[in-house]
Amino acid sequence: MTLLVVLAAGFALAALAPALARLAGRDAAWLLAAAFAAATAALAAAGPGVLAGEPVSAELAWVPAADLALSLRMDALGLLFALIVSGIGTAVMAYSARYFHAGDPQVGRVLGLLTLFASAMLGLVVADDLLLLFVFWELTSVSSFFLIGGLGEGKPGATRAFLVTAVGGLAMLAGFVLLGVDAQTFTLSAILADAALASSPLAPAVIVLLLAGAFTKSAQVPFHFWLPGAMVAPTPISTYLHAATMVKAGVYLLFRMTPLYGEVALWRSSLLAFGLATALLGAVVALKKTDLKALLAYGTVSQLGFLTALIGIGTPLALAAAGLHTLAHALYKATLFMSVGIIDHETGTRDLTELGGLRRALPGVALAGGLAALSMAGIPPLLGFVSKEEAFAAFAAAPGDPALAPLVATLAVTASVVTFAYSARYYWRTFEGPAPEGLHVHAAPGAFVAVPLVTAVGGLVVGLAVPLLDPLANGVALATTGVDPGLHLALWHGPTVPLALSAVVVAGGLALFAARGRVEALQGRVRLPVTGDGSFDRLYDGAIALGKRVGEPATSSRPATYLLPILGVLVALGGAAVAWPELGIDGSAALSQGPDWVVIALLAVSLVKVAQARSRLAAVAALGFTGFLVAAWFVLLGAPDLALTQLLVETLTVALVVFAFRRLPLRFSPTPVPRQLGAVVIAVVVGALAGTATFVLTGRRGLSEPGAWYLTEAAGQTGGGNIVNTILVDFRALDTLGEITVLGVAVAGIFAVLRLGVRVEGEALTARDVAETGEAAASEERRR
Amino acid sequence: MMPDSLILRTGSRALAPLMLLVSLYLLLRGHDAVGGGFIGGLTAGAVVVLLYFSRGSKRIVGSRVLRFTPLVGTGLLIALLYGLAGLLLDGAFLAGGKVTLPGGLEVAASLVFDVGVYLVVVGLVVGIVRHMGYAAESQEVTLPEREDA
Repeated sequence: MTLLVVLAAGFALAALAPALARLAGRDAAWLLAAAFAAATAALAAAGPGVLAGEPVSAELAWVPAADLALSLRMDALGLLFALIVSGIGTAVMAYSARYFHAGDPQVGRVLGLLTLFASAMLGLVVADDLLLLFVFWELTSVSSFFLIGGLGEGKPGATRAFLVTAVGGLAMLAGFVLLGVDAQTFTLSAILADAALASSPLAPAVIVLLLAGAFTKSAQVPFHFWLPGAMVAPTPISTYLHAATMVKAGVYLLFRMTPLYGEVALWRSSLLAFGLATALLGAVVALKKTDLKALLAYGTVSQLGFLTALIGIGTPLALAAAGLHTLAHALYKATLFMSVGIIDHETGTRDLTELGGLRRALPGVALAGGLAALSMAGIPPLLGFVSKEEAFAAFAAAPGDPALAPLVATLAVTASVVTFAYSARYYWRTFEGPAPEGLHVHAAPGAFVAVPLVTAVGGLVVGLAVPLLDPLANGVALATTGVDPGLHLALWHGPTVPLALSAVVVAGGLALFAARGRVEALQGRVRLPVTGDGSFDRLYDGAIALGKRVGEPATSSRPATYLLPILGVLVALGGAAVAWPELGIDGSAALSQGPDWVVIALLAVSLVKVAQARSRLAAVAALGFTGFLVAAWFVLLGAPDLALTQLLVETLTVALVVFAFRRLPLRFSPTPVPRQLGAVVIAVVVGALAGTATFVLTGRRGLSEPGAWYLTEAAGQTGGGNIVNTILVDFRALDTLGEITVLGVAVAGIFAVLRLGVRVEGEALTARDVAETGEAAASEERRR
Repeated sequence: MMPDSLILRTGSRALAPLMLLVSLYLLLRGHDAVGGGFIGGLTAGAVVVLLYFSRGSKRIVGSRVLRFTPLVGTGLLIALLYGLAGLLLDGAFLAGGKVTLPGGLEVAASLVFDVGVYLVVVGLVVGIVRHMGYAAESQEVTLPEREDA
């Protein structure tokens, strides 16, 4: 029940937020922060029960016909992520209340989207149905697209982020469908309990597809480029996206699928390889970035890789450490982004080369940023230290090939050394040293600075009282591996291997930081031959160009250009159908009656007249005459309604075609003989085919079974004697309603296009032209 | 502009009301005999075309009734409301059935739906006449000559 209420309230608040912001301005964010805090409390209240081994679940029928239910389930893993989403959400909302300027018009929009984003993420981590999970997954992609894109200023970054994650999401959906078909259920908890699925022949395909989804979402190499590109968003959005939502969704999926695939070699090796590569690359790039937000973004990429590799180890200890590190990362990354937002806000820049000495002007921010940097670097007594220690322990005890443990531990330690160095660089170059000339710093409001301080101190307090997290970390391991590692978290375990590795990290990091001048010079010389953004843009432009090429034949102003392929396909298909004896379609000449031949002869004569006509008017008149002849045929066949309709439509058509003719020369211009011959051949072939098809497909004169049914039933059921009409307005009234709707909409659309064509003939239309002609047409309309 | 024809003008004055009556008759009796909303609407559309040819575009364009959007919109709305009424009274969208009028006369409820169809069809013809007639008569615009014989 709690889950349903929290989710429903979240989506309702998302809809209400713009209205709230109109009433209360940026202070509406306080209200939303309170709501988020309440949600956090409600979820935390369910915590003890969940950690005692009794997951909370709720179910609501959604599309019963498709066996789709809104089934939610929160185990220890779901609890961890749900608390991160709602807890960091509270901080982000409180921070937004002072980040935006009073009266900023985009506040309502951003707050609404942020709440939607949060609700979608919350739904994602408690969904107990694969398809439901996918819906929430895509909802986070869509809402983040609008958040990153803002009011158009962040479009390229938002487009890249959306396309990369959406393509991954579709791959994941394919994986889910395969998995669901294989398991014959889409219920997540049931699938995870079915160990046979891991050895099914479909498993490798499912794994690859799911990893495509998780790796794109969590910005793993080579899909990492979208995440730094997304930093154009305002800071509250970046904070939330990096610390608690979106990128954490991919990591969540990896956690979630571990019970099923944790032992599969393909799964483990992919996670380790991609994760460690991402951890190293992200950290190295972060080291050279001077834009603080870019530095932090690449730091996130690196940490996500670290988490991915850790999950790939697959032992209960590794999963517990990964859960703990997810929490630590959420706390310090939220703090760091919020601090950078304040620095940007108060100094007008976030470039390291223009900053320095801010500790004196912004002591609160320096304290928050410093604590968070310590946690990121893995220094005691912060939570980041404890989680990194446990992670090292897990890497060092990696099962499998004896060479694996030293290798992955070395790579993880290397990534952590670089992480230490960029953490130090971040703090030092921002808060210490001399302040550059001309750097003006405004005082930051207390409420603004308080928020990152709370999250920073949170990391410190939780680090000091880390044994409190034992049940959560062990619960995550139990939920993902089925084994409780019985972990006892502490700041001091005595002289152990992880402690030695931490010491290596500190020493190496300090050395790297001390040599920062030379490192930066070296990094300045290295240029990667391919960049993710560049490759993506080439692919994107290529797709657009391909689309243009494909659409080209249909945009010609010469009917022949697009008529020929259509007719060619028709002839090929028709020929194949007629030549196929097994289809069992054959007409019988015996059904023809005398009067038929009279009509056919008249039709032939009038068609020859159409073809011979030199003047347009004569051609149209002759064409109209063929229409009348067809109407006569309908009468012969006993279909007066159809005949009448045909007569009327033919009359109107001739009259309306005359409108068009007033703008054309009276006579057709002479056509070269070869073209005439070509047209004759095409016309004869297509005509012969259409005639044959009509003959073989309609070779029946008697009453069909449905026809007989209508004849006997129509009068009784509808009270109408005209069956054609009862079919139109009673039996198939829904079809008719659909048809008249389509007619109305299509014709309205054609008029709009015609109008534009008349106004700005011969020129390429621009959006401005369209708007102007629309206005001109409207004002003209009014004048009349 | 349209060449003025005395015969057409006089003839249409007598013919137009008559055709309109026939179109309504076709609409009303449609459920039992040849006719219906579609056929009736087309007949009424023919009246519009006749009016255009005999009196010129001003008669159509200046009319308050003969407009595309209101006609098609009203028609669709009537058809939709008829469907919803069926849902409300009979439990099925577009349910149909018979209605007994105060005089004891039984009519098929679907006549209402047919009226909607009728209005949509008239609206379509009106729209085409308005727009194509307008385009044909705005002299400042000339299409580039194109041959597609």
